[in-house]
Amino acid sequence: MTWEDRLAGGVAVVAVSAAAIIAPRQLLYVSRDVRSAAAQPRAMRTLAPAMQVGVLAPARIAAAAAVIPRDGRYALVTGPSAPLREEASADYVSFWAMKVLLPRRRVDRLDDAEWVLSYGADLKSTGLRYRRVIDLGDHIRVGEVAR
Amino acid sequence: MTGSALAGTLALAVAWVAVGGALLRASGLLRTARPLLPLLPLALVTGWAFTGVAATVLLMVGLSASPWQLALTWGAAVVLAAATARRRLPRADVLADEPTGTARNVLARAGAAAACGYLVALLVRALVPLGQLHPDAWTQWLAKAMVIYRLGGLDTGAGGFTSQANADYPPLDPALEATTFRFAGTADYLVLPFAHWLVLAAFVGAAAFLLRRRAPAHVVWPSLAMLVLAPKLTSLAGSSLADEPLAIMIGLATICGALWLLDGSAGLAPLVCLFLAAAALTKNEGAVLAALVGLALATGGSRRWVARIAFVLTPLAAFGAWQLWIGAHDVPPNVAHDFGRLLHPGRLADHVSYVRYGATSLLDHLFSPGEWLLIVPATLVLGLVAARRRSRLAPLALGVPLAATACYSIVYWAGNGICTWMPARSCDGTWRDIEWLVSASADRIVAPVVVELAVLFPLLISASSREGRLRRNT
Repeated sequence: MTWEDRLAGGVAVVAVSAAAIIAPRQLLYVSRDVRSAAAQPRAMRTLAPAMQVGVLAPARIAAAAAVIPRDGRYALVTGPSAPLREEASADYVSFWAMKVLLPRRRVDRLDDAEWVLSYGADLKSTGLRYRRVIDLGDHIRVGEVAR
Repeated sequence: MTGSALAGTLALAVAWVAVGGALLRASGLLRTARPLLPLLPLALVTGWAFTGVAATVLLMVGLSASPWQLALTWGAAVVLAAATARRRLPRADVLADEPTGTARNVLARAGAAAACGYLVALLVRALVPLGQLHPDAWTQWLAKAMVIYRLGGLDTGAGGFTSQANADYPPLDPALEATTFRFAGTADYLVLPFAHWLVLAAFVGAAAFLLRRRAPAHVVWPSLAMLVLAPKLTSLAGSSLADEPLAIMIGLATICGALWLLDGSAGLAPLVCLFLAAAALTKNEGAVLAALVGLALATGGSRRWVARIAFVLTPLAAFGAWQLWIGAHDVPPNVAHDFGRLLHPGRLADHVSYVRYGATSLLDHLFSPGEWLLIVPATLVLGLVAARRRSRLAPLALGVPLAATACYSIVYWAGNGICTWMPARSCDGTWRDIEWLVSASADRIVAPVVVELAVLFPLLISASSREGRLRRNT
């Protein structure tokens, strides 16, 4: 047996042994995830991605789907009353809205919007007139733009 | 997970097995005279990769990749495969001179029990998912899948596919997720981890089946257990990050390619091309890695020129087709990178800290035992031994990881920070800016590289001991 064979064998034994050592810990982590998931209602778990990044009222955003028609075009505005864990969480509001409100299309310009979804902002600050405004709670409102 | 979603996902898996089986029969790897059960995992991942490529092509030509369109594509593939099916395998497909002994049997069974037992634990987690996702998973990959599912294809209108983050990334992964949504009958992302688990489990089974052609069970199963138990693979499994399917595609391409180099089985070459094309259509990073694997196979010493050229050209052609789609639909350049900087030495010099930080971070993750155990250092040592012995696997074991790390570091050199694309962030300087980009991606983009090394691990050990035996006998 050459030194290369011994080296290859030794490396293999050490590497596989490391996996054997870590196996119980990995199983503990997985079982912890399962227990944690089983303890939460399914509805809560579907909101977890948004809650994780500090968007604290993701269900209110999803509720806008009951107001904005499926072929509607909406713009999103955020403001100081937004239920967010931190300022940087505001970046994720538009991603979450897009995810839960499709096939409704989000537009960047207020002028192109038929609806405005306000996440903690004052709808009057948009300078648009609204036919109606629906309060979804937690400072989240949907306004239908009057054209 | 509801019963109908579970049934729909299983029906999709059956379709993957059927079309994959037909492709394996065409390639000569499946013969009706032998037991079918060991081939089911390989058939599943082959059908899965084929479906991903087919759905991507359908989307790029303006269709929705609906279940009916996919069914027609599968049907066409099965008919074509039946017409070209090979009748014989070029060589025996189970290791003939496998060493035996009690210790070896115990090792093989313990490895198989560890890998399979842990996969069962991951199955339970997949059936009751926690729902917590990496922000990249739902802001990018799932968002694109939702667009394909809800808007019926690669919609280029407001709020469509091209309005999403990293719109220049190819759509294979979201296309597969959208296909799962359609078969499950719901866009609830909690159904996805089960589909991901099916693919991961099939990957392990397929790897075991293929690797056993060249390596004994007491080497293959402990090696696969090491990969399955790696903490980072556990966190990637069912994550809906594209790094997970990319790692599997690259792993399969590497196994088939390595066996093609060692065995000369012509039937493996089309599979290599399929997995390389799928990898190139999964992520931009996947295109780089697929090209490197293709190049490593082409330089592996085989004289079969057609296959060698195909390995190099397939990922380029697949990614090139996606680039044509991007060009035709005026997709804006990715704000996360400024590749123009690479052409200006002065600007590159200003950002030299980026490449240093990026490379260091990549190496930290590659060699971290807390993420990937000892897979990378162990396989690199075996790769060095292989290079010393002029093994055909050396370019795969050494060249690919080195070149991939260099390429990814260069991409970081051209990186822009988060301030340029997420304006609500408070940006207080370029260093902190790039730090976020690297910290948000480096741990994941190394995953396919590690899986590529992990599947080579048993082949390199086997090659080493086989050469040792040969030398002793002569």
